Amino acid sequence: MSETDRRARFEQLAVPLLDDAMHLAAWLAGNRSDAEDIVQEAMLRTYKYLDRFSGGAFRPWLLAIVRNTAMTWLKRNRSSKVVLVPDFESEEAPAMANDTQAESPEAALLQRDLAGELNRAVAALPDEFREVIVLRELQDLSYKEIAAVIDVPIGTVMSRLSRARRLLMEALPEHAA
Amino acid sequence: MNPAIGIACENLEAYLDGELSAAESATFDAHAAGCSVCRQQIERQLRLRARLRADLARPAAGDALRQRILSSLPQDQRNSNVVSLPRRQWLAMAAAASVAAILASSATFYVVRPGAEDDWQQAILASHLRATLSGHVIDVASSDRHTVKPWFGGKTKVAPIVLDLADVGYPLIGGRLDIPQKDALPVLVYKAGPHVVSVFVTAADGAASPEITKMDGFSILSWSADGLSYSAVSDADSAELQAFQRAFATAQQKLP
Repeated sequence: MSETDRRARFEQLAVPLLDDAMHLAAWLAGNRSDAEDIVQEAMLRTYKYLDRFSGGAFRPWLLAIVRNTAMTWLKRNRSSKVVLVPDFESEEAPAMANDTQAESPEAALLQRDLAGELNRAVAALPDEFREVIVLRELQDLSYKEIAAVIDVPIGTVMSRLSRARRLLMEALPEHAA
Repeated sequence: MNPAIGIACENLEAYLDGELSAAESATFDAHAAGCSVCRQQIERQLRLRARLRADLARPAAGDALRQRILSSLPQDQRNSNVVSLPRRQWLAMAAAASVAAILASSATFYVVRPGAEDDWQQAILASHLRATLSGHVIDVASSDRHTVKPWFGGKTKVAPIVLDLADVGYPLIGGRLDIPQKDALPVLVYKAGPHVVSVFVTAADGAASPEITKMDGFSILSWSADGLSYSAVSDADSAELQAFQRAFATAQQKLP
């Protein structure tokens, strides 16, 4: 593949998924600046290994690179302190803006609190549970795709997802049994 | 329920996640119709899922990162007017969380682009980059407009109007003196989320409506009002910068 072809392919396939890559990296890293470093490194790897992509869905393939890069990066760079409150938490939850327009300011504020509470609960999940929740509910991947991204059997994906959801329900009062 | 097929309570999540075949789903439906535990669980799972899908934070990659990535790719001849640089260090800013890093140093940033009309934009973009890269974004650090405005007094030909926009999401972080071309100009510095916005102020006559330009991943927005011309430069995206300009104009109209 010539450099020109490679670049064209990269811009066509990978660049439109930059936000997806950022969402995953941010949830794995817990903060924006680490996530940006991870995304940049992952995108360079994607560029380099582009000819190894053998068809099929590109998004899970790219997210697998992001996830692997994040694992290596975090092992190398993350301090032992676990960040429980993600610094991007107040950012884009796109559905909200439209939902709140007809409501009172109090209702909007309450809704924002609920969103914050939800994001903190997800951030507090152990890594292996947080990643399956994000891949399923935010990236909308199938069990099979999640299994490929994190390199575990489908049965493990199912049990982790189930456990993650139980933990979230326990952490969020209005979902508790 | 047919135990031979084994579609029962334990398949509830696979059912909701759309992972069952049509036949399996139908079997689960039949089971759930008679299982109050499943019906209650379905309701709880759906509520949690709706909340996750609506409210999980989705931080955007942003133009600066996009630009940083594209510039760091190996280049061929066609793209040789952009110099690929190693990743820059994060810029530490006082009291700021993380500031989006900028890909190129001012010395290598210039992309050959003929035409005199964007000389000004080139100059202020370079000035903005110099300031953010060196970490020297502000000469006077204050969120108080009554401190920032007098600081400019006598240092520049124009006396800028300094507005604090913190209550609409754009806190003033200070001001600096910059010489993008031949004159020293007042530059007001604001934050828009993680982005730094430099507003260059010059004398102008008349009013001009806002005009946005994209340049190398940065947005430049220029407008005039009340005898002054403003050019805002930032790595925030165009929409964000336009929202900033509207907030600025609105606050200006409210001045006595």
